[in-house]
Parts: sequence; structure tokens; C-alpha cells
Amino acid sequence: MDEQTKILYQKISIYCGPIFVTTFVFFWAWLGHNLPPPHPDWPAQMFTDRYVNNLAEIRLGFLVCLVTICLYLPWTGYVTSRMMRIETGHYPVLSYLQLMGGALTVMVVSISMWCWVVAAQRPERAPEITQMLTDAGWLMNDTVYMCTTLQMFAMALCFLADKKGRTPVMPNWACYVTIFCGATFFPASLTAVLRSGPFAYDGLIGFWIPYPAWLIWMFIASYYLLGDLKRRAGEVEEKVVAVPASS
Amino acid sequence: MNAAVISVMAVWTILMVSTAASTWWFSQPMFTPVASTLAVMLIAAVKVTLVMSHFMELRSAPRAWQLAGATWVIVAASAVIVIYLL
Amino acid sequence: MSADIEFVPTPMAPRVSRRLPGVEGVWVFVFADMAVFALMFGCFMWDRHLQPESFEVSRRALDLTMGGVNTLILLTSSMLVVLAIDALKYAENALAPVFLGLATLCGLAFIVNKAFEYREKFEAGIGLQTNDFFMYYFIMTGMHLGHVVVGTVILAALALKARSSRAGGSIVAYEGGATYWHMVDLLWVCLFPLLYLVR
Repeated sequence: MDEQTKILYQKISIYCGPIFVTTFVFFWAWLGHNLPPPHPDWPAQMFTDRYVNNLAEIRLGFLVCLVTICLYLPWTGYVTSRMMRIETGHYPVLSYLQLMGGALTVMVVSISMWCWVVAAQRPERAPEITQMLTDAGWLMNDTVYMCTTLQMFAMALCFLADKKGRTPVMPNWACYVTIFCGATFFPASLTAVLRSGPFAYDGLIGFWIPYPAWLIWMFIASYYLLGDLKRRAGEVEEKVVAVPASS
Repeated sequence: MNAAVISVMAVWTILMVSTAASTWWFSQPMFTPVASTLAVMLIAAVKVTLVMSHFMELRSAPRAWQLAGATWVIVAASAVIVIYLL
Repeated sequence: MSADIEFVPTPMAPRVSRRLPGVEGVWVFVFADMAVFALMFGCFMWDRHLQPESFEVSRRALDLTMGGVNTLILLTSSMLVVLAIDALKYAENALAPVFLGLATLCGLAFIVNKAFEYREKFEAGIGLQTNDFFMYYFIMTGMHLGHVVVGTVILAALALKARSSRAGGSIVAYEGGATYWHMVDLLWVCLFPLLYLVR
């Protein structure tokens, strides 16, 4: 593979991140009627009504998002290889942690949407079952976040220790924002216990902070990864031009 | 002891005394709930400002960061007091 | 004009003009964290506004002395951390690990005190789901306690670092830890009156 092609695939991999976020907001949040999320303390019938009244939109939203969530994979792949350039040697533990965290994040978010796709497949069933599937989907996201948190922590710690380049991949503040965004997931565990108020799965601390934090982090990280790629691509071109001239 | 240490000890003394006053004096029944709450919240705002300026060294930090600290104190304190008085 | 400035006697400490302690990122993290807590303060006050009687009755079940003593503990530990940073700046390196060690002990004392306080509540049959007041009480103090645990570990690590041969060099790591610990102190300075004293 020549250098230009490699750079092209790397660039596509980074762009997969923001494209995923955009599709997530449109299909998962808007078409999937998750903005605002259903209220966990609703009577069961209201969960059924929510599916029946918006059936086509909810089905389309989650089915498309189940495909586009996998755009998270090439992004994670690029981040892993970029981290390995910093964490050189035979033991790139942070890079591997980030890789596993990113891959498992796709599974966690997929399983959550899979619950809602199942709920929407046969919405005429007993409302309690639809309610349970909806709850199960939310609690999958809100209690099984640690893979994503570790992915973010590993990435931040690696980029914070980046002493190789003249310019680090991400500036110091963006690394700490990454740690903060990862930490905002912790209070979401409370969604398993509390069904109303700010800590429930439709609440301020249960939904409105951690979900946007995750998506905004992805935009910030992608922005700096692209800048870093542009710098590296420039260096590659310099080398390609310089080598025949010197020989 | 240099001047910096003396000023830290002075700030720490103010913080300790005002905490004791909030905890064991303003909580007495001789103060009405509103008077006691307002006093305690204003003392807390002053304490937070002291911690920011003298412990976190915001007083010698760039203006933008001082502004961020001041904004946090003013927004948090006024939100609490306004909702309390509703 | 410039001649005037030259004759100004320099104070004992070499004053660098307008400097943020530590790295910028720690401050971004600290303010983001404080913003989340401020939002929770607002939520708490709002729910208190909606059900004042229940909140007031529940508040009276809290132990003012334990909360007050914990405030004094954290303020003292913050002061010790300031002294440690000061010692490192003025090259009195031998004092820094002592101050940081004492600050770590304060952190541990806070954790132990909080554990006793929680146990007292649990034994009285009070838990997270007793009512909205205790929901906020356990979650806000619990999240703060998580910060205290992380901060105590950081202080212990910095105390060990200050004792080791690598104590010299950059002060940035110490300042970052100190800034975080002062934030932990600052948040408790807000949480204590909010939960224990607003009536």
C-alpha cells in the first residue's frame, strides 16, 4: 500500500467518529424518540403507547443506528495504532486497553438498541414486557459503561505522556476533558436504583450530562486526531520529496 | 516563617473560626431559619472565595481563570439563595 | 517610566507575573467537575423548595458535629497541602513529605468519620430510598467521598514522591494534585452547609 492510500484510510477512520456521532444524534436520539428519554416511572401502558404511536420511526432509527454504531470501530482502530506510535515497544498496554474498551463499547450500545428493536418488533404484547425491554436497554448503557470509561482513560493517559512529537496529538486540556467525560458515566449506575429525579435514566445526571459528554468528547478527540494526521501527512510528503533529492 | 506561610495560617484561622460559627452558633434556635440560612450561605461563599484565591492560588492566576472562579461562586451562591427564598 | 520600575524592591519570593499552578488541563477538569456539583446543588435546592417539610425533618436527623468536624479536617488538610507546595518552592524539601503525609492522614480521618456517619444512618434504618432528602444526602456526599478517596491516594503518592530522590525537578505534578485536593475541600465547604445547615 502506498503512503497516500494509507493516509486516506487513516483519514476515513478518523472521520468515522464524527459521522457516527451525527448519525447517533439523528437516528438514536431524534428518530428513536430518545430526546427526551422515556420516563422510568411511567405506567407500563405508556411504554407500549410510545412504540405503537411512533413505530416506523423507532424501528428505522434503531435499525440504522445499529449499523452506524460500527463506525466506532475504525475510529478505535486508528486511535489504537496512533497510541502504539507513542507507547512503543512490545508492551503497549494502554493501546490494547483502549482497543478492547472501544470494541466493547460498540457491543454495549448495540445490545441496548437491540432490546429496543425487540420491543418494537411486537409492540402488541403485554405492556409490562415492553416496559422491561425498554428498561433493559437503558440499563445496559447506563450500568455497563466502564469499558468506555477505560477506553477514554487509557487514551488520555497515553496522549498526556506523549513526548515524541513537537506537538502532542491532543493538547493537555483535551486529555483532561477526556478523563472528565469518562468520569461523568459513574453516577449513571444510580439509574439502576432510582426511577425519578436527576439520577434516573431520563434525569440531568443520568442522561443529560453523560450522553452529551461522550458525544462531545468524540468530536474534540476527532478534531485533534485530524490535525495530528495532517501534520504527519505533511512530514511524510517532505520525506518522499527529500529522499530522491538526497540520493 | 516567611510572609506566605503567615498569610496561609491567617486564612486557615479565618476558615476554621467561620466554620465553627456556622456549625455551632448560627444553627442555634435564637436565629430565624431565613437569617441563619442566609448567614451560613454567605459565609460559605466567602470561604469558597478564600480557598480559591489563597489555597488554589487563583489570586495570582491569569484573569480568565479568576473570572471562571468568580463566576462559579456567584452563580452557585445566587442560585442556592434565590431558590431558597422562592 | 521604566526607570521607576527598575528601582522597585523585589519581594522575598520571586513573583512570576500571573501564573496558573500546575497544568491547564487539571483546571479544566476541576471547573467541569465543579459545574456538575453546582448543577446538583441547584437540583437539591429545587426539590427542597417543592417539599420543605420533609427536607427539614430529615435534615434534623443529620449529625451537625460530625459534618462540622469533617469540614475542619478538610480545611486543615488543604492548609497542609499549601504548606507542602510552599516548602517545595522554597527548597525546604525535607518538610514537604511531612506536610503531605499529615494531609493524607486528614483525608483518611475524613473517610473514617464519613463511614461512621453512614453506619449510624443505616442502623437507624435510613437509606438511599428513604426520601428525596436522603437520596441527595447519600448521592452528593457519596460522590464527594469518591473524590476524597481519589484525592487521598494522590496525596499519599505525592508524599512518597516528595520523599524519594526524584523529589526535585518539576513542581507541576504536586501543584496538580494540590489543586484537585483544594477542589475536594471547596466542594465540602459548599455541601456541608447545603445539607446540614440550610433550614
